[in-house]
Amino acid sequence: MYDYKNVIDYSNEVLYNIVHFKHNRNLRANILINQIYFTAIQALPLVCLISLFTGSSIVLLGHSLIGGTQSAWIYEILIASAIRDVAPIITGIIILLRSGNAITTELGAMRVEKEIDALISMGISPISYLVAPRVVGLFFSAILLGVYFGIVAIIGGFFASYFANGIYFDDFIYQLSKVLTLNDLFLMFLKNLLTGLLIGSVCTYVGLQKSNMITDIPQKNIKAVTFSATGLIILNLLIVFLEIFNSSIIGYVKYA
Amino acid sequence: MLEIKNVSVNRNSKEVLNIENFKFDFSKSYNIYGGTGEGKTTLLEVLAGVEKPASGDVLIDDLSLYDSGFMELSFLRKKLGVMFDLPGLISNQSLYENIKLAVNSKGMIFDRSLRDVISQEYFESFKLENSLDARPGSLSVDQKRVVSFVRAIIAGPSFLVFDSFCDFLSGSFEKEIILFLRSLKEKGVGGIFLTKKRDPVGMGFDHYIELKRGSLYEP
Repeated sequence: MYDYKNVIDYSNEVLYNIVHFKHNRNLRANILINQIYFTAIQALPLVCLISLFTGSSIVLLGHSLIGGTQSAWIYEILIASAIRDVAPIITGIIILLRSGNAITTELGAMRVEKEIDALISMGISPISYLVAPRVVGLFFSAILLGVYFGIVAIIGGFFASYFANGIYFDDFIYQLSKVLTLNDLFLMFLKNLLTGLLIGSVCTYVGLQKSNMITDIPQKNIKAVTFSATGLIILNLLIVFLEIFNSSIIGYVKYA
Repeated sequence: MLEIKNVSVNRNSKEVLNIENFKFDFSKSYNIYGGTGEGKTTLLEVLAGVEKPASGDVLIDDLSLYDSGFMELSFLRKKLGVMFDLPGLISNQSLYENIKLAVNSKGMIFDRSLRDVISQEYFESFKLENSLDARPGSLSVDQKRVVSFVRAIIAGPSFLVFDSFCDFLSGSFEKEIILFLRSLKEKGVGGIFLTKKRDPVGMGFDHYIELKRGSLYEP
Protein backbone atom coordinates (compact mmCIF):
# COMPACT_ATOMS: atom_id res chain seq x y z
CA MET A 1 0.00 0.00 0.00
CA TYR A 2 1.18 3.48 -0.81
CA ASP A 3 3.81 1.97 -3.10
CA TYR A 4 2.40 3.69 -6.15
CA LYS A 5 3.30 2.20 -9.50
CA ASN A 6 3.71 5.62 -11.08
CA VAL A 7 3.99 9.22 -10.09
CA ILE A 8 0.74 10.12 -11.94
CA ASP A 9 -1.47 7.95 -9.63
CA TYR A 10 0.40 9.34 -6.69
CA SER A 11 0.03 12.96 -7.85
CA ASN A 12 -3.72 12.39 -8.31
CA GLU A 13 -4.07 11.41 -4.66
CA VAL A 14 -1.86 14.29 -3.54
CA LEU A 15 -3.97 16.75 -5.56
CA TYR A 16 -7.17 15.22 -4.18
CA ASN A 17 -5.85 15.75 -0.65
CA ILE A 18 -4.79 19.32 -1.44
CA VAL A 19 -8.21 20.15 -2.92
CA HIS A 20 -9.88 18.69 0.19
CA PHE A 21 -7.36 20.37 2.44
CA LYS A 22 -9.96 21.97 4.70
CA HIS A 23 -11.59 18.60 5.43
CA ASN A 24 -8.34 16.91 6.38
CA ARG A 25 -8.91 15.84 10.00
CA ASN A 26 -5.36 14.60 10.38
CA LEU A 27 -3.79 17.83 9.27
CA ARG A 28 -1.57 19.61 11.73
CA ALA A 29 -1.14 23.31 11.08
CA ASN A 30 2.35 23.26 12.58
CA ILE A 31 3.64 20.93 9.82
CA LEU A 32 2.45 23.45 7.21
CA ILE A 33 3.82 26.46 9.14
CA ASN A 34 7.17 24.73 9.78
CA GLN A 35 7.44 23.85 6.09
CA ILE A 36 6.81 27.45 5.00
CA TYR A 37 9.20 28.74 7.69
CA PHE A 38 11.96 26.32 6.68
CA THR A 39 11.50 26.75 2.93
CA ALA A 40 10.53 30.38 2.51
CA ILE A 41 11.85 32.24 5.59
CA GLN A 42 15.10 30.43 6.40
CA ALA A 43 16.10 30.43 2.73
CA LEU A 44 15.56 34.18 2.49
CA PRO A 45 19.21 35.31 3.00
CA LEU A 46 20.46 32.85 0.38
CA VAL A 47 17.75 33.82 -2.13
CA CYS A 48 18.38 37.54 -1.51
CA LEU A 49 22.11 37.13 -2.08
CA ILE A 50 21.67 35.13 -5.31
CA SER A 51 18.95 37.43 -6.67
CA LEU A 52 20.94 40.59 -5.81
CA PHE A 53 23.93 39.26 -7.75
CA THR A 54 21.71 38.00 -10.60
CA GLY A 55 19.91 41.34 -11.02
CA SER A 56 23.04 43.48 -10.81
CA SER A 57 25.20 41.25 -13.02
CA ILE A 58 22.52 41.11 -15.73
CA VAL A 59 22.34 44.90 -15.86
CA LEU A 60 26.16 45.24 -15.85
CA LEU A 61 26.51 42.59 -18.54
CA GLY A 62 23.76 44.24 -20.59
CA HIS A 63 25.45 47.60 -20.15
CA SER A 64 28.81 46.28 -21.36
CA LEU A 65 27.29 44.35 -24.30
CA ILE A 66 24.68 46.81 -25.53
CA GLY A 67 26.58 50.02 -24.98
CA GLY A 68 26.74 53.26 -23.07
CA THR A 69 23.07 54.16 -22.98
CA GLN A 70 20.63 52.15 -20.92
CA SER A 71 18.68 50.38 -23.66
CA ALA A 72 15.14 49.05 -23.21
CA TRP A 73 16.63 45.64 -23.93
CA ILE A 74 18.30 45.62 -20.53
CA TYR A 75 14.89 45.98 -18.85
CA GLU A 76 13.46 43.21 -21.04
CA ILE A 77 16.33 40.93 -20.07
CA LEU A 78 16.02 41.88 -16.40
CA ILE A 79 12.32 40.98 -16.41
CA ALA A 80 12.96 37.70 -18.24
CA SER A 81 15.68 36.72 -15.77
CA ALA A 82 14.49 38.22 -12.49
CA ILE A 83 10.78 37.62 -12.85
CA ARG A 84 9.60 35.43 -15.68
CA ASP A 85 12.00 32.76 -16.92
CA VAL A 86 15.22 32.29 -14.94
CA ALA A 87 13.97 33.14 -11.43
CA PRO A 88 11.55 30.17 -11.14
CA ILE A 89 14.38 27.80 -12.14
CA ILE A 90 16.85 29.29 -9.62
CA THR A 91 14.29 29.36 -6.77
CA GLY A 92 13.24 25.83 -7.78
CA ILE A 93 16.83 24.60 -7.48
CA ILE A 94 17.22 26.31 -4.07
CA ILE A 95 13.96 24.71 -2.87
CA LEU A 96 15.00 21.33 -4.24
CA LEU A 97 18.44 21.35 -2.63
CA ARG A 98 17.28 22.63 0.75
CA SER A 99 13.71 21.48 1.35
CA GLY A 100 13.14 18.79 -1.28
CA ASN A 101 16.17 16.88 -0.11
CA ALA A 102 15.19 17.31 3.55
CA ILE A 103 11.66 16.01 2.83
CA THR A 104 12.97 12.92 1.01
CA THR A 105 15.37 12.17 3.86
CA GLU A 106 12.71 12.68 6.52
CA LEU A 107 10.11 10.49 4.79
CA GLY A 108 12.77 7.89 3.91
CA ALA A 109 13.81 7.66 7.56
CA MET A 110 10.15 7.43 8.62
CA ARG A 111 9.71 4.56 6.17
CA VAL A 112 12.72 2.67 7.56
CA GLU A 113 11.61 3.27 11.17
CA LYS A 114 8.12 1.93 10.28
CA GLU A 115 6.45 5.22 11.20
CA ILE A 116 4.65 5.20 7.85
CA ASP A 117 3.51 1.59 8.37
CA ALA A 118 2.23 2.54 11.82
CA LEU A 119 0.17 5.40 10.34
CA ILE A 120 -1.32 3.12 7.66
CA SER A 121 -2.18 0.46 10.24
CA MET A 122 -4.02 3.11 12.30
CA GLY A 123 -6.14 3.99 9.25
CA ILE A 124 -4.35 7.32 8.68
CA SER A 125 -3.34 8.13 5.12
CA PRO A 126 0.32 9.24 4.99
CA ILE A 127 -0.66 11.32 1.96
CA SER A 128 -3.13 13.41 3.94
CA TYR A 129 -1.09 13.48 7.16
CA LEU A 130 2.47 13.90 5.88
CA VAL A 131 2.49 14.70 2.18
CA ALA A 132 -0.33 17.21 1.65
CA PRO A 133 0.91 19.79 4.21
CA ARG A 134 4.47 19.53 2.86
CA VAL A 135 3.40 19.96 -0.78
CA VAL A 136 1.08 22.87 0.09
CA GLY A 137 3.92 24.41 2.13
CA LEU A 138 6.29 24.05 -0.80
CA PHE A 139 4.05 25.71 -3.34
CA PHE A 140 3.28 28.66 -1.05
CA SER A 141 7.01 28.93 -0.34
CA ALA A 142 7.90 28.75 -4.04
CA ILE A 143 5.57 31.67 -4.77
CA LEU A 144 6.98 33.68 -1.84
CA LEU A 145 10.56 32.97 -2.88
CA GLY A 146 9.73 33.94 -6.48
CA VAL A 147 8.37 37.28 -5.25
CA TYR A 148 11.46 37.90 -3.03
CA PHE A 149 13.72 36.96 -5.89
CA GLY A 150 12.02 39.37 -8.28
CA ILE A 151 12.04 42.30 -5.84
CA VAL A 152 15.68 41.87 -4.73
CA ALA A 153 16.92 41.24 -8.29
CA ILE A 154 15.24 44.47 -9.42
CA ILE A 155 16.90 46.32 -6.51
CA GLY A 156 20.25 44.78 -7.56
CA GLY A 157 19.56 45.84 -11.15
CA PHE A 158 18.82 49.40 -10.00
CA PHE A 159 22.12 49.67 -8.05
CA ALA A 160 24.04 48.42 -11.08
CA SER A 161 22.20 50.92 -13.35
CA TYR A 162 22.89 53.75 -10.93
CA PHE A 163 26.63 53.02 -10.65
CA ALA A 164 27.12 52.15 -14.32
CA ASN A 165 24.84 54.73 -15.97
CA GLY A 166 23.84 57.11 -13.19
CA ILE A 167 20.15 56.26 -13.62
CA TYR A 168 17.90 57.36 -10.75
CA PHE A 169 15.37 55.11 -9.06
CA ASP A 170 12.20 56.78 -10.44
CA ASP A 171 13.56 56.67 -13.99
CA PHE A 172 14.62 53.04 -13.54
CA ILE A 173 11.18 52.03 -12.26
CA TYR A 174 9.46 54.01 -15.04
CA GLN A 175 11.53 52.25 -17.73
CA LEU A 176 10.93 48.89 -16.09
CA SER A 177 7.17 49.42 -15.81
CA LYS A 178 7.01 50.17 -19.54
CA VAL A 179 8.18 46.64 -20.41
CA LEU A 180 6.67 44.72 -17.49
CA THR A 181 3.31 43.18 -18.43
CA LEU A 182 0.63 41.33 -16.47
CA ASN A 183 1.52 38.30 -18.55
CA ASP A 184 5.05 38.33 -17.02
CA LEU A 185 3.62 38.37 -13.49
CA PHE A 186 1.10 35.65 -14.33
CA LEU A 187 3.85 33.46 -15.76
CA MET A 188 6.01 34.04 -12.69
CA PHE A 189 3.22 32.90 -10.35
CA LEU A 190 2.30 29.96 -12.57
CA LYS A 191 5.89 28.71 -12.91
CA ASN A 192 6.64 29.08 -9.20
CA LEU A 193 3.41 27.36 -8.22
CA LEU A 194 4.05 24.44 -10.58
CA THR A 195 7.70 24.28 -9.42
CA GLY A 196 6.58 23.91 -5.78
CA LEU A 197 4.02 21.25 -6.74
CA LEU A 198 6.52 19.34 -8.86
CA ILE A 199 9.32 19.30 -6.27
CA GLY A 200 6.87 18.50 -3.45
CA SER A 201 5.25 15.61 -5.33
CA VAL A 202 8.50 14.05 -6.63
CA CYS A 203 10.43 14.33 -3.34
CA THR A 204 7.59 12.93 -1.23
CA TYR A 205 6.91 10.16 -3.79
CA VAL A 206 10.54 9.03 -3.74
CA GLY A 207 10.78 9.38 0.06
CA LEU A 208 7.69 7.20 0.61
CA GLN A 209 8.91 4.33 -1.57
CA LYS A 210 9.27 1.11 0.40
CA SER A 211 12.70 0.44 1.88
CA ASN A 212 14.02 -1.31 4.95
CA MET A 213 17.57 -0.03 5.03
CA ILE A 214 18.96 3.30 6.15
CA THR A 215 21.49 3.06 3.28
CA ASP A 216 18.60 3.46 0.82
CA ILE A 217 18.05 7.05 1.92
CA PRO A 218 21.04 8.63 0.08
CA GLN A 219 19.96 6.71 -3.06
CA LYS A 220 16.48 8.15 -2.65
CA ASN A 221 17.95 11.65 -2.35
CA ILE A 222 19.91 11.23 -5.58
CA LYS A 223 16.75 9.98 -7.32
CA ALA A 224 14.62 12.84 -5.96
CA VAL A 225 17.12 15.52 -7.03
CA THR A 226 17.65 13.99 -10.48
CA PHE A 227 13.93 13.53 -11.22
CA SER A 228 12.96 16.94 -9.82
CA ALA A 229 15.72 18.83 -11.66
CA THR A 230 14.84 17.08 -14.94
CA GLY A 231 11.15 17.76 -14.32
CA LEU A 232 11.90 21.40 -13.58
CA ILE A 233 13.71 21.90 -16.88
CA ILE A 234 11.00 20.03 -18.84
CA LEU A 235 8.27 22.05 -17.11
CA ASN A 236 9.94 25.35 -17.99
CA LEU A 237 10.55 24.23 -21.57
CA LEU A 238 6.89 23.23 -21.92
CA ILE A 239 5.73 26.62 -20.66
CA VAL A 240 8.13 28.40 -23.04
CA PHE A 241 6.77 26.30 -25.95
CA LEU A 242 3.23 27.16 -24.87
CA GLU A 243 4.17 30.86 -24.74
CA ILE A 244 5.64 30.67 -28.26
CA PHE A 245 2.63 28.72 -29.54
CA ASN A 246 0.27 31.20 -27.89
CA SER A 247 2.03 34.27 -29.33
CA SER A 248 2.15 32.66 -32.80
CA ILE A 249 -1.60 32.06 -32.68
CA ILE A 250 -2.22 35.65 -31.54
CA GLY A 251 0.14 36.92 -34.27
CA TYR A 252 -1.63 34.80 -36.90
CA VAL A 253 -5.08 36.01 -35.77
CA LYS A 254 -3.89 39.64 -35.88
CA TYR A 255 -2.38 39.07 -39.32
CA ALA A 256 -5.52 37.34 -40.62
CA MET B 1 -13.15 -12.86 12.66
CA LEU B 2 -9.92 -12.35 10.75
CA GLU B 3 -9.53 -14.57 7.71
CA ILE B 4 -6.58 -15.17 5.40
CA LYS B 5 -7.63 -16.41 1.95
CA ASN B 6 -5.05 -17.88 -0.43
CA VAL B 7 -2.50 -15.18 0.30
CA SER B 8 0.84 -15.24 -1.43
CA VAL B 9 3.59 -12.61 -1.32
CA ASN B 10 6.61 -12.54 -3.60
CA ARG B 11 9.89 -10.72 -3.07
CA ASN B 12 12.54 -10.63 -5.81
CA SER B 13 10.56 -13.29 -7.75
CA LYS B 14 10.67 -15.61 -4.72
CA GLU B 15 7.56 -16.62 -2.80
CA VAL B 16 8.01 -15.57 0.84
CA LEU B 17 4.47 -16.15 2.08
CA ASN B 18 1.92 -18.72 0.95
CA ILE B 19 -1.10 -19.28 3.18
CA GLU B 20 -4.15 -21.07 1.81
CA ASN B 21 -6.98 -20.50 4.28
CA PHE B 22 -6.77 -19.60 7.91
CA LYS B 23 -9.34 -18.14 10.30
CA PHE B 24 -8.59 -16.29 13.52
CA ASP B 25 -11.30 -15.76 16.12
CA PHE B 26 -11.14 -12.23 17.61
CA SER B 27 -11.57 -13.55 21.16
CA LYS B 28 -8.75 -16.13 21.01
CA SER B 29 -5.02 -15.68 21.37
CA TYR B 30 -2.68 -17.20 18.78
CA ASN B 31 1.05 -17.68 19.06
CA ILE B 32 2.56 -17.87 15.57
CA TYR B 33 6.19 -18.90 15.94
CA GLY B 34 8.97 -19.34 13.45
CA GLY B 35 12.67 -18.65 13.05
CA THR B 36 14.31 -15.72 11.33
CA GLY B 37 13.34 -15.37 7.67
CA GLU B 38 10.28 -17.64 7.89
CA GLY B 39 7.93 -14.74 7.01
CA LYS B 40 6.68 -13.37 10.35
CA THR B 41 7.15 -9.69 9.51
CA THR B 42 5.70 -10.17 6.01
CA LEU B 43 2.66 -11.90 7.54
CA LEU B 44 2.19 -8.99 9.95
CA GLU B 45 2.50 -6.46 7.12
CA VAL B 46 -0.17 -8.32 5.14
CA LEU B 47 -2.50 -8.50 8.17
CA ALA B 48 -1.93 -4.81 9.01
CA GLY B 49 -2.87 -3.77 5.47
CA VAL B 50 0.60 -2.40 4.76
CA GLU B 51 1.74 -4.90 2.11
CA LYS B 52 -0.71 -5.90 -0.57
CA PRO B 53 -0.27 -9.60 -1.39
CA ALA B 54 0.44 -10.71 -4.96
CA SER B 55 -2.75 -12.78 -4.76
CA GLY B 56 -5.43 -13.59 -2.21
CA ASP B 57 -7.04 -11.41 0.40
CA VAL B 58 -7.45 -10.73 4.10
CA LEU B 59 -11.02 -10.46 5.39
CA ILE B 60 -12.02 -8.71 8.60
CA ASP B 61 -15.59 -9.59 9.55
CA ASP B 62 -16.12 -10.73 5.94
CA LEU B 63 -14.97 -7.39 4.47
CA SER B 64 -11.90 -7.33 2.26
CA LEU B 65 -8.90 -5.44 3.62
CA TYR B 66 -7.48 -4.89 0.16
CA ASP B 67 -10.55 -4.38 -2.04
CA SER B 68 -12.52 -1.99 0.12
CA GLY B 69 -13.13 1.71 -0.40
CA PHE B 70 -11.16 4.27 1.57
CA MET B 71 -13.77 4.72 4.33
CA GLU B 72 -14.33 0.97 4.77
CA LEU B 73 -10.61 0.41 4.78
CA SER B 74 -10.04 2.97 7.54
CA PHE B 75 -12.87 1.38 9.53
CA LEU B 76 -11.41 -2.13 9.11
CA ARG B 77 -7.90 -1.08 10.09
CA LYS B 78 -9.21 0.51 13.25
CA LYS B 79 -10.40 -2.92 14.43
CA LEU B 80 -6.81 -4.05 14.73
CA GLY B 81 -4.20 -2.97 17.27
CA VAL B 82 -0.92 -3.44 15.47
CA MET B 83 2.65 -3.41 16.80
CA PHE B 84 5.55 -3.75 14.38
CA ASP B 85 9.03 -5.06 15.14
CA LEU B 86 10.12 -1.40 15.44
CA PRO B 87 8.16 1.01 17.68
CA GLY B 88 7.16 3.25 14.71
CA LEU B 89 6.47 6.31 16.87
CA ILE B 90 6.23 9.55 14.89
CA SER B 91 9.57 11.06 15.81
CA ASN B 92 8.68 14.75 15.55
CA GLN B 93 5.60 14.42 17.78
CA SER B 94 5.44 14.10 21.57
CA LEU B 95 4.35 10.83 23.18
CA TYR B 96 0.98 12.41 23.98
CA GLU B 97 0.48 13.48 20.35
CA ASN B 98 1.50 10.02 19.13
CA ILE B 99 -1.18 8.39 21.24
CA LYS B 100 -3.71 11.13 20.50
CA LEU B 101 -3.27 10.35 16.81
CA ALA B 102 -4.40 6.74 17.38
CA VAL B 103 -7.31 7.85 19.58
CA ASN B 104 -8.48 10.49 17.07
CA SER B 105 -8.16 8.15 14.10
CA LYS B 106 -10.52 5.72 15.82
CA GLY B 107 -12.90 8.46 16.94
CA MET B 108 -12.58 7.48 20.62
CA ILE B 109 -13.98 9.83 23.26
CA PHE B 110 -13.14 9.47 26.96
CA ASP B 111 -15.07 10.89 29.91
CA ARG B 112 -11.83 12.41 31.26
CA SER B 113 -9.12 14.34 29.54
CA LEU B 114 -6.95 12.17 27.30
CA ARG B 115 -3.83 13.30 29.18
CA ASP B 116 -5.27 11.92 32.45
CA VAL B 117 -6.30 8.65 30.81
CA ILE B 118 -2.85 8.07 29.29
CA SER B 119 -1.01 9.17 32.40
CA GLN B 120 -3.09 7.38 35.07
CA GLU B 121 -4.28 4.25 33.29
CA TYR B 122 -1.24 3.43 31.21
CA PHE B 123 1.94 5.46 31.71
CA GLU B 124 1.95 5.20 35.51
CA SER B 125 2.44 1.43 35.27
CA PHE B 126 5.51 1.98 33.12
CA LYS B 127 6.90 4.94 35.12
CA LEU B 128 6.36 7.24 32.14
CA GLU B 129 3.70 9.52 33.66
CA ASN B 130 6.03 12.55 33.55
CA SER B 131 7.10 11.96 29.96
CA LEU B 132 3.87 12.78 28.14
CA ASP B 133 5.44 15.77 26.40
CA ALA B 134 8.78 14.09 25.68
CA ARG B 135 9.78 13.21 22.13
CA PRO B 136 10.37 9.51 21.27
CA GLY B 137 14.07 10.27 20.67
CA SER B 138 14.62 10.85 24.40
CA LEU B 139 13.36 7.37 25.38
CA SER B 140 15.08 4.01 25.62
CA VAL B 141 14.12 1.24 23.17
CA ASP B 142 12.04 -0.51 25.86
CA GLN B 143 10.18 2.70 26.68
CA LYS B 144 9.48 3.35 22.99
CA ARG B 145 8.05 -0.17 22.64
CA VAL B 146 5.84 0.42 25.67
CA VAL B 147 4.47 3.66 24.16
CA SER B 148 3.88 1.81 20.90
CA PHE B 149 2.04 -0.87 22.91
CA VAL B 150 -0.15 1.78 24.60
CA ARG B 151 -0.86 3.33 21.19
CA ALA B 152 -1.97 -0.08 19.87
CA ILE B 153 -4.36 -0.87 22.74
CA ILE B 154 -5.69 2.50 23.98
CA ALA B 155 -8.42 2.95 21.36
CA GLY B 156 -10.09 -0.39 22.11
CA PRO B 157 -9.11 -2.65 19.21
CA SER B 158 -11.04 -5.88 18.63
CA PHE B 159 -7.92 -7.89 17.87
CA LEU B 160 -4.17 -7.43 18.40
CA VAL B 161 -1.42 -8.26 15.93
CA PHE B 162 2.05 -8.00 17.50
CA ASP B 163 5.38 -8.70 15.83
CA SER B 164 8.62 -9.65 17.66
CA PHE B 165 6.65 -10.26 20.82
CA CYS B 166 9.51 -12.02 22.63
CA ASP B 167 11.86 -9.06 22.01
CA PHE B 168 9.16 -6.82 23.38
CA LEU B 169 8.70 -8.95 26.50
CA SER B 170 12.42 -9.31 27.12
CA GLY B 171 12.44 -5.62 28.08
CA SER B 172 11.99 -4.08 31.53
CA PHE B 173 8.19 -4.18 31.66
CA GLU B 174 7.35 -7.87 31.12
CA LYS B 175 5.03 -8.24 34.11
CA GLU B 176 3.09 -5.03 33.43
CA ILE B 177 2.56 -5.92 29.75
CA ILE B 178 1.37 -9.43 30.58
CA LEU B 179 -1.10 -7.94 33.09
CA PHE B 180 -2.47 -5.56 30.44
CA LEU B 181 -2.80 -8.41 27.92
CA ARG B 182 -4.58 -10.64 30.44
CA SER B 183 -7.07 -7.92 31.25
CA LEU B 184 -7.69 -7.41 27.53
CA LYS B 185 -8.19 -11.17 27.10
CA GLU B 186 -10.80 -11.09 29.87
CA LYS B 187 -12.62 -8.40 27.87
CA GLY B 188 -12.64 -10.71 24.83
CA VAL B 189 -9.75 -9.13 22.95
CA GLY B 190 -7.51 -11.80 21.49
CA GLY B 191 -4.63 -11.49 19.12
CA ILE B 192 -1.85 -12.89 17.02
CA PHE B 193 1.54 -12.81 18.74
CA LEU B 194 4.48 -13.51 16.46
CA THR B 195 7.53 -14.95 18.21
CA LYS B 196 10.73 -16.73 17.24
CA LYS B 197 10.11 -19.60 19.69
CA ARG B 198 6.92 -21.22 20.94
CA ASP B 199 5.51 -19.24 23.90
CA PRO B 200 8.88 -17.94 25.11
CA VAL B 201 7.69 -16.62 28.50
CA GLY B 202 4.99 -19.21 29.25
CA MET B 203 2.07 -16.80 28.76
CA GLY B 204 -0.33 -19.55 27.72
CA PHE B 205 -2.01 -18.96 24.35
CA ASP B 206 -5.21 -20.58 23.06
CA HIS B 207 -3.58 -21.77 19.83
CA TYR B 208 -0.03 -22.39 18.66
CA ILE B 209 0.76 -22.19 14.96
CA GLU B 210 4.12 -22.75 13.34
CA LEU B 211 5.23 -20.54 10.47
CA LYS B 212 7.64 -22.41 8.26
CA ARG B 213 8.94 -21.21 4.89
CA GLY B 214 6.01 -18.80 4.59
CA SER B 215 3.23 -21.31 5.38
CA LEU B 216 1.21 -21.86 8.55
CA TYR B 217 1.01 -25.29 10.25
CA GLU B 218 -1.18 -26.00 13.24
CA PRO B 219 0.30 -28.94 15.19
